[in-house]
Amino acid sequence: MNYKVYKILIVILIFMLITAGCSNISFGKVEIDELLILNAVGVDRSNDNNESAVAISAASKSINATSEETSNASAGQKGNSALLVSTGETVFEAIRKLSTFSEDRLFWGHVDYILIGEDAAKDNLPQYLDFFMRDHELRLNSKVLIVKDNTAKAVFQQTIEEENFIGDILENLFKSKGRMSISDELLLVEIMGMFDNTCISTYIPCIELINEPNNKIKLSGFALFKDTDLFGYITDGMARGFNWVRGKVDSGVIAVKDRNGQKISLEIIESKTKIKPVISDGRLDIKIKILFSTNITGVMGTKNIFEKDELDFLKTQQEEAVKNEVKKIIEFAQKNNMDIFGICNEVHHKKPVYWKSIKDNWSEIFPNLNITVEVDSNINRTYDIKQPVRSGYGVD
Amino acid sequence: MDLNTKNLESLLSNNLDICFKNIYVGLDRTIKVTIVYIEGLTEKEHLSSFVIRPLLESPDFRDAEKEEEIIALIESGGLYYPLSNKLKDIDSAVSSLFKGNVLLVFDEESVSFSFEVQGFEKRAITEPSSENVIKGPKDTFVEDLMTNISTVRRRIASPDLIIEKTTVGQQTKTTVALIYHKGIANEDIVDDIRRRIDSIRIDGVFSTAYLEEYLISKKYSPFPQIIFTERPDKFSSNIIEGRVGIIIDGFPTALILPATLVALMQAPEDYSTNFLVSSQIRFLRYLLIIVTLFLPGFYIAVTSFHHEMLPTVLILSVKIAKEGVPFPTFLETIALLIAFEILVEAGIRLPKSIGQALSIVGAVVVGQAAAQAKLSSPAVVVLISVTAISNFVLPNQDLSNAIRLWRLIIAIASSIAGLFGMCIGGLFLLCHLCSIENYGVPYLSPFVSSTNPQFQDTFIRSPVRLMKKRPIDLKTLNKKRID
Repeated sequence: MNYKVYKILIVILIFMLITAGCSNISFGKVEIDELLILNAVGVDRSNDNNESAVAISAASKSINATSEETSNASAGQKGNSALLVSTGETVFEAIRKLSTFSEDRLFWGHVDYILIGEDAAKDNLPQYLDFFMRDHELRLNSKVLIVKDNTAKAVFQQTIEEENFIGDILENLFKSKGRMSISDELLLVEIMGMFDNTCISTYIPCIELINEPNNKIKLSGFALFKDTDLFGYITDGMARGFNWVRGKVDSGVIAVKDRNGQKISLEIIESKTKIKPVISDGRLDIKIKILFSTNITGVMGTKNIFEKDELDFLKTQQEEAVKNEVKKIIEFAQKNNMDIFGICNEVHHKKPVYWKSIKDNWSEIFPNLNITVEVDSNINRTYDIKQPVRSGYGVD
Repeated sequence: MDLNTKNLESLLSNNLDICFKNIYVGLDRTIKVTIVYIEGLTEKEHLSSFVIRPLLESPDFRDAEKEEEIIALIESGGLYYPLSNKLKDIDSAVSSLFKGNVLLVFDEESVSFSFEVQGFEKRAITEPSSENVIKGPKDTFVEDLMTNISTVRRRIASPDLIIEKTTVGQQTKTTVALIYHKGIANEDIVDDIRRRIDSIRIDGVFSTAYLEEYLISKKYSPFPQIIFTERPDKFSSNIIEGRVGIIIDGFPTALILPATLVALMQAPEDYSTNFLVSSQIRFLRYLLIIVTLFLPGFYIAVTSFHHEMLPTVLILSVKIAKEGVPFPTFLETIALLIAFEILVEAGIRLPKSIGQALSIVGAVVVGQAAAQAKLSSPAVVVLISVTAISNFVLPNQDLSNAIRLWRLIIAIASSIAGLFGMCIGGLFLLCHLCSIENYGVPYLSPFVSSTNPQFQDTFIRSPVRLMKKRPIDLKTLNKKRID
């Protein structure tokens, strides 16, 4: 090949590089200041007469620069975040409609939170989430949340009025989720996986709007789904009982009474859960074994409790408390025939041959399953205070 | 042409600085001897007391009747001066004269003696200006070849240290010394270098680069394939490691070859500090070479193509910084890179006192003012500063110049095709580096060595007692340096 051919090839190559791609010249190059970086998106079923309408609200965080130029920024901006709202026949249409009034190109690559209004959750949720799975800009590891008793839009509006940003609030809430262990964060891909599995009932963490002066949003338990529709919510004790079975209790408080009627609070330090399917006489039994340990963090009284008998009593008390929490949620799940624990997966993985014979009628087997709960615990330490203050003077 | 005064005068007489002086010696002062020397290159005191005075006053010379007798007397050591040569043809006499020697010409016998009584001005040995160390010797090479050679000889007191002299330059006749250790350096490499030096046919050597371009194999590469140093200790240690050194008369910089990338990343200071500390610095240096190469390109790619790659908080602050800047990111970045190159270039040419003022003006104008006038975003200014500072960490100036060039290429590649372009640019660079090989030594050795790669002196600097072998790729005759 002579040089002429090389030259022509190079020219062709350069033109190929420059003219390829969807945008004009260059492969989808967009300057960063032409982007509106969205951090949270909300999906609602619209209140219009049109039954299938979808409302999308998207929030973008903007850091205030030192200069005071932000006042003329994009629509609906107040405080440190911008809110965009639109409706459409489908999720994608609603999202594209946002572009008609947004100055900047919307960028979805940083969406961390997808909020679902209650109405949308009741109306075949996967149909709303499909777009978020399919689109290349959105991330599969964004977190999905259900808004209890309200619409996603309301949450956005509430936070904007408070001059807060929804993304920051949720991030902080999720940071401390393990302190009470009544909620959890679940990723879009995990949730779609649960919807895909016919024997598992889906659960999605939920938030609710509350009317406290400083805090408007609260993480509150889980929304449970039967098939694809919202069935109900579990909160507080039920939600923690659920987390016990899932093995996702990081920390939390157990309050029990000692033999003298004093209230003792115990902090959960660590926990471990094992779900074990056992087949005996051709019958499937499930054994759930929970191990945890606690520290004594408070005694509401003056009587000394640091004796072996007393501690043993407290130990059985806390085990009883946990057992009750767990029993409640198991009863609830079996009554409504919703395998939220993923017990079917445990059977599938540990007894694969047996699973083949029962997988088609799991919905008939699960409600009548014999699930036994075993709880074992210990009390580790008492934070170096052996006797409560004034323990010698108390009236016996 | 015969060697006599007449012919010499016809060759040289119209030169201001060449002096001819006739003295008459022997019995009755009948024998004419012509002294020829160059004004300014000769130590006149030596000339008169060690050459002229014995000729005139010594009884042996006074009794001589013929020229032959005097010549015989000089040959047998009648003059006390130790450095003399007997020359019989006019060409060698002239070239010896221009080295600063004094000629004694005997017309009848057509013979001349040259005495090395050079006494020209030379610079004293000073502290190194570009390769400073805190611990370690503070001497440098100077312009005078013999001084330099003696410095090296003092450091390596071995009969195996060979110093060969050749001349390069049709007109300048510059002396070039080829220095190597006979028992260590690979003979093929030495032969190859000697052959290449001998085949140079240029007018003169006015810069080390004149020689460099004849000695390297990859001519179209910005990367230095010869190590230049002004430090005799670094030079000597490389000779002992098995490399070949070249010192050119008139240059305070010595050449060491063949160079490898690893050798260029070594600073003399590395060997005078604790091995843990210098390993950390060495590792950092390799990290920073990557930073300075790819950071501008990476920034362009991430901010204009792959917005999802930055953490949310970071992208927001970058976005705020970019707000109101009219130019696309790649233009901003490349313009600032070029502005920085201009600052560096301008700083070299300026006198030292103005140079400082320039750097302040440069920093203020390019940094603060440009950002304030919304000509560039503060993020880019910070980024270019980081890039520039990382570049200064490289111990070799030639290497850092090459990196500057490639940094621009990679920045342009990533502004065309994002990270994809950056990868292509990086691959091209890697291909280029892999293709360089001098005297059978790959430029990237020991990273590309297939057998027994030695990493003892690369990312880390092992303790001296663990560096038992010389670099294997130099194919040295003596492989061990610690018995």
